[in-house]
Amino acid sequence: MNFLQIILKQMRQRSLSTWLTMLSVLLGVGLAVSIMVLRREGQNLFAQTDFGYDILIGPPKGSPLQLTLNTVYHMDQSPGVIPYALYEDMSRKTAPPAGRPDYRPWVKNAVSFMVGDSYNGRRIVGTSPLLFGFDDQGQRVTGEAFQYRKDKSYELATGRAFHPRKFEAVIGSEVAEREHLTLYDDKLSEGENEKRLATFRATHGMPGPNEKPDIHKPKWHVVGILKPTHTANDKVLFVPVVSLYAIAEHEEGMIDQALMRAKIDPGKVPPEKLDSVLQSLGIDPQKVPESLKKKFKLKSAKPAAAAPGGDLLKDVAPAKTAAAESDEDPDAFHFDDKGEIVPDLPQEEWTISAIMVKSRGDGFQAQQIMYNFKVIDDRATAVNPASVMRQFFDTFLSGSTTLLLIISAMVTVVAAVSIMTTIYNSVAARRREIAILRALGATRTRILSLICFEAALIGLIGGLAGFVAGHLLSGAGSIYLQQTLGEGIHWLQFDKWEFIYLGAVVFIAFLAGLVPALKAYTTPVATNLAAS
Amino acid sequence: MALHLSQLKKNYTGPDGSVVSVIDIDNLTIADGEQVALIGSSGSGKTTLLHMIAGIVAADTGRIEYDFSGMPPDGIAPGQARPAGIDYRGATPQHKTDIARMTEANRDVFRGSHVGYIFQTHHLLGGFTALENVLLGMSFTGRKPDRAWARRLLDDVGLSDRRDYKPEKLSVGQQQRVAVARALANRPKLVLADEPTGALDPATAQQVLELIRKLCVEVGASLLLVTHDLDIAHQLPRVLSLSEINRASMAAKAAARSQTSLA
Ligand SMILES: Nc1ncnc2c1ncn2[C@@H]1O[C@H](COP(=O)(O)OP(=O)(O)OP(=O)(O)O)[C@@H](O)[C@H]1O
Ligand SMILES: [Mg+2]
Repeated sequence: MNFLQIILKQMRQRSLSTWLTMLSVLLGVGLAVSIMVLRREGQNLFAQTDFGYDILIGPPKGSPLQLTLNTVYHMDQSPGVIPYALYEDMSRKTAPPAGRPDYRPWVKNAVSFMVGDSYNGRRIVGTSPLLFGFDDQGQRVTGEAFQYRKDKSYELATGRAFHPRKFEAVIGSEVAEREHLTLYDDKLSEGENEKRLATFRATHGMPGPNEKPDIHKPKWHVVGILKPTHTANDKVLFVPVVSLYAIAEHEEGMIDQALMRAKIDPGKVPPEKLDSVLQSLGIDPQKVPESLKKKFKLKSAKPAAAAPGGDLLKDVAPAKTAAAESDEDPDAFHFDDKGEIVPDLPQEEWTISAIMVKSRGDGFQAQQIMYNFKVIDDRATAVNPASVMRQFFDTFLSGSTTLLLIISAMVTVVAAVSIMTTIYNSVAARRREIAILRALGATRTRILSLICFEAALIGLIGGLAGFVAGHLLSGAGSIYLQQTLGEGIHWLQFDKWEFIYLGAVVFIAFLAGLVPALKAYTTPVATNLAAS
Repeated sequence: MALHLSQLKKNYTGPDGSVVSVIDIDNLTIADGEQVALIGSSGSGKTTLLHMIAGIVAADTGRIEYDFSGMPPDGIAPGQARPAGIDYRGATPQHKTDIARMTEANRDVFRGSHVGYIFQTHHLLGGFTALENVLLGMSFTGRKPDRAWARRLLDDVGLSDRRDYKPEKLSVGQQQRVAVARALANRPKLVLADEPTGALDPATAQQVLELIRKLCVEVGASLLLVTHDLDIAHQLPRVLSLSEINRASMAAKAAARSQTSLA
């Protein structure tokens, strides 16, 4: 019988308490290891610096974190909107018209980003074809392709980029797979394509499970499916930003917002005063489409609209009565002679959620842009997504995980105490056996080390199991992150701190064994041999 | 191996603080391979004496010499390493070694290697099988356990079919036979048996006694066997009465006598 065999035999003899003690060690170590993994890999995930773009431009009052989470990870709500004109200014490749700022020296490329609708709970993002490396003419841009990560551009698995002014969509790989959406086939009829799930309609916002979804009228054709990027973008349906302005309610929403900004309750504006109110807001009533005006008048003249006959309706928009009666939103756009969308909403009223900007050069230009929106142009704010995320990690994740780490260290200490009490009790119960071992020639120090190593072994086995459990736990966390963010973590990766922790646990277990071991050390042999 | 005790004294302090002399022996020799029965009344110090000889209890004064002169090397096969740092290594065939002068740790190792101890109750370890209990007896010598010898011993005590039984599955007699095998596991030079048959019925007691004696002859060990049973004692070639060699128990007897005469 060697040393280890003797220890293992004795442990097996008291297997229940040994297992329970190991379980407590497992819990402590598992908790600590999973927190260490999540913290480390979470830092890699969130505080990554390899963004493909260095500036996010969003509404002036929104929080930088919300803007970044919303744009990069498709989490949280959009903090608000900025004028589309800003995007025009930033993305302009030719000299700006008089009175417009020239951002060309600073901006390498800029991509629009507009949220607000969903398809089966998946986010629809309005953007420009530049996102996929194509200009508005459908030509592949050279050298300036948008990168979602450093040196990583979107690639189409099948199909093509959408046309910037058509109801077309390019969808992420995961959406395609999970929603069984397929590529639109021109050779088939619209109806057949619809059956094949090659088209989809947008739902307003993100309705909750019990809310009645408000489904928009326009239908988008799926013209492209992206290769997996292993980011949250795999869950997104990309459509031309212009196509979103062609949705009646969006226009309405924008006018609503304009009224709200001016602290005017849209429900209380009398129909006849609408034009003058719009004018006072700087909106040319002549340019507001009839369909839109009609909606506002309906809203503000509800009692009249509810009356049978709907005389008011006929007065205002006699041509569109049919549409109104069919309970469908009226079309808020028309197609031009090339078949491209022309939203009724005037371009001055277009807004977007954010602009993703890749600056030129080495950071100086980025600084210029940041400074510009901080001091000169108050229509928007500019943030660096990488530093926002790093700060988020440092202030929130880092702090809270430190607390969790302390808690799990305490759980580990409790586990060590339970090792101590378990073995202490067993030593008390085994005084006779210890005396026998002494009679067989075991020295006091041999007994001492037998017990300390037994404790250390419980720490080691429980610790190793905890190490595995901790990584499995972070694997579960990774699946969750994968589902919410589109990006998992490297939960199998470990670093030296985990081993240092494991070593410390074994050492603490060894020390915990020392108390009962000292009791065993001082167990008198002769008297305990006499007791039978 | 011969054993010499001289001027051996052991006092205990009673609960009231009074010092009680338990062992006070001028001289006692047990010759190489001799088998000696030790008798004495209860409380006369038999167990204490055995504990002192085995080094379990330290002597207050006096000598307990193991005399290896004329012995073949002490069971350690040539070329095999001896445990390091132990001064009983002076116990070569030419030397005597006095365990009364050893440190406790050295006494433990010495006992593990040279002394086999059999208790009144078997004192086997519950979690270990019969064979493992015998192997356990070999685990603290610094030598590699000799499995074949452990099996041989179990065969010799008639338990070849019970090797893998845990103690609780064995009868009391079988348990004691395992204990005998364990005591001889290291081919000791001296076997100390403290009422080894005390818990057994006469037939089993006889059987166990014969086993002990036979195995001691086989490994060349001297035997000192404590018993209350005079039938057993007189089967051994030499019977020692502790009261006759222990001054402490003579004094105790005298004290007891004076007390009864006073009454
Ligand atoms: N640790 C101790 N402290 C104090 N006195 C002790 C201690 N151990 C033994 N004694 C005393 O020493 C005396 C001898 O005890 P011992 O156990 O050696 O007797 P014994 O001859 O073996 O008796 P028995 O035949 O009943 O086993 C007893 O009077 C006992 O009370
Ligand atoms: Mg006794």
